[in-house]
Amino acid sequence: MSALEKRLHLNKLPPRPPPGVGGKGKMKMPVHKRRDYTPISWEEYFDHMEDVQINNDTFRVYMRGSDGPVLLFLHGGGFCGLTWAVLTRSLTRLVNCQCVAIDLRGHGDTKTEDEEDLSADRMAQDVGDVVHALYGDKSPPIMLIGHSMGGAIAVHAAKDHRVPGLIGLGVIDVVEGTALEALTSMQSFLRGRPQAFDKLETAIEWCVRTGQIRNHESARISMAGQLKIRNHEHTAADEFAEELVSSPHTTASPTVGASATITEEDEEGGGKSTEETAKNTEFKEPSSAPTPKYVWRIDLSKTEKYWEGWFRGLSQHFLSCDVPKLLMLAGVDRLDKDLTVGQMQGKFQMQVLPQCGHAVHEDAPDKVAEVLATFMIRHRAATPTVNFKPSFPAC
Amino acid sequence: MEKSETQDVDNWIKKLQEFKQLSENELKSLCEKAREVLSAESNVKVVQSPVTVCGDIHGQLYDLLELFKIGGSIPDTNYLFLGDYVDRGYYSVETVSLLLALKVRFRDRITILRGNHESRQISQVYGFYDECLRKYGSPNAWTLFTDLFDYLPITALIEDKIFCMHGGLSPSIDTIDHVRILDRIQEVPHEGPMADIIWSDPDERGGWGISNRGCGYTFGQDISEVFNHSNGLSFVARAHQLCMEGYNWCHEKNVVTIFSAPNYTYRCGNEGAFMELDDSMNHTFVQYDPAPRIDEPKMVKRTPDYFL
Repeated sequence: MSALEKRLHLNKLPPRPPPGVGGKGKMKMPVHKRRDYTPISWEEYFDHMEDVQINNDTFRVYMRGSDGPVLLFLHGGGFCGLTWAVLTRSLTRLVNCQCVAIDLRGHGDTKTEDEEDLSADRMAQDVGDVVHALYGDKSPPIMLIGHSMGGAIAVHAAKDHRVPGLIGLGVIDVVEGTALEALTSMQSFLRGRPQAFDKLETAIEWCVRTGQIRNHESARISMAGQLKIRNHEHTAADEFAEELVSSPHTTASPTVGASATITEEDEEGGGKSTEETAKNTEFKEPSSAPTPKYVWRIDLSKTEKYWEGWFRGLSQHFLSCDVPKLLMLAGVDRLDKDLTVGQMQGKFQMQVLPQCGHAVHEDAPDKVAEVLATFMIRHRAATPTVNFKPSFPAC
Repeated sequence: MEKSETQDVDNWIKKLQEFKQLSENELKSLCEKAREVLSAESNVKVVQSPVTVCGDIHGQLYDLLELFKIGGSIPDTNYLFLGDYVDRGYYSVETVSLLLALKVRFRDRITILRGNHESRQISQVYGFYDECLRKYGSPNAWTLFTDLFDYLPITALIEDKIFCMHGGLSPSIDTIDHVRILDRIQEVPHEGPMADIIWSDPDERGGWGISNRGCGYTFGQDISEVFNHSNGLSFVARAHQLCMEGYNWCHEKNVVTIFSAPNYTYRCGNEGAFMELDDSMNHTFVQYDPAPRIDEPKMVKRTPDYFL
């Protein structure tokens, strides 16, 4: 990549987060750090994947661990099963369990006849169907864990008894009142995102720099699952994994890594000349820049009609589920009235993980793993490994 | 206390009642004095009637002052507080400072027990730490407070008839004497009798259960009945759980829950309540609505920009 190109990419990026956000380093420390934004394959985190056939639909599931209870993970809107990759590695180190992460309808490498129907009912039924396809009538004990939209689907699946052998329910950073309030600004947020990326590295860097995912290792594995190559069927993650198989390298090519690495020093020393360059390139961009290759796997703006249905009544549904419940939040002020009352009556365990963004499990996988492991062991649902140390509840 | 000291503390009390925080030096001095007073108290603080028993406050200073207005002021009325003075409300610093100052000034008129929020782990997450940082510019105040919390007694016994604590009973504790021998001067532990006393809840299910909170146990009516009978008690009074009416009897009047933070976290719409016990140990519950508020800070809710 030429110096000019490099600047061009930098200028397209949103501003860096304020000092102190997402890092604990001293502010005055000179920045010479090179960050690697090359993608990592899921194979370093999951043991295997399966494409589960249900009628004419195929659901992609990623798995890790071979014994103990099943933790069934449901991702948030736009994400895919790979969002759980780093967490499952931490978790299986602490307790004996099987992690199963589904790509929900319309997402990741799941392919369905009706990609449009993202209603809570439809997706909750999908979850039940996948469980049945995997385990038949001999379902192991299952704990459902969902993030954001996936959290809402987990609650719907639990309340409608879609999952036999359900032993627990974990919901990550979604609360009815707060979610409904946030929905009004969601379309403008989606419009504000880049619509395409020229390469995966750029996408991963965007994702980390804007704080969508603050843990850059996790972004390197999960981001590719949110994207696909324009007019291709598979996600970038899938294509990337296949590339690895056919290429002589077994891990990400070091040459690609080096060229994509951005010296942050460059950016800070840019000054006026960078600005001028930016103006010039901006002007030329439409004619000279090729159409970027990677686009979003799912057009979330078209799913708006389902959003309210995911979240409306969620707090009461959650409280009414008759299994041990765990709510993990990025901030305590996200609780609405119903859940504040429920929490103060001791109806569920709550864990606040401050220093995290919305993708709590990606930003703090070790901490979330500790909380989940402690929860499973406390409810005698799983056995600890030698690495396990209990974490303290924050009710 | 010497006369000049008494005057100092009186001044602090006055200041705090006007919603003005103490200076860091005053706070240091207050915590030193409070530690002296509290470390002399037993794990089971003996309390005489008449006394007014109050539950969670959670930094709602307007409501605490309203409570004193309705229930009578100290030293004219005796008080027993069951813990949870800090977190969630906007005035945790002033609330807990005021209760400590009253304790230092009138040690025989007020008893303050420890709640699960009077701990480092919890108060770091639920607002008290941030409030200390905001109001004092450093975590020093939070350290002073939380070091002091280790000295708060964990239970009280009124006239040998009503056993009081923040949470509830523990499977490791059959008699009140078991509580007396615990080493309480420490951070609230993750498990064991001290954690249970501060975290447990009564439940409709019989026997001991795993608490959904992630700490402590649930205990059924069978447990409460046996405990009260074998210890010669009328009932157990505790806080820890929000009740829409401000108080709630359960286990056929073997256990009462008292919650004194009306409209908890400014959104729950519940009443607050306290329990008055007269000379002959007759109890009356007094319910009250949230106090009118002037210049309450606006809720600044930090919602994420992405929420699907």
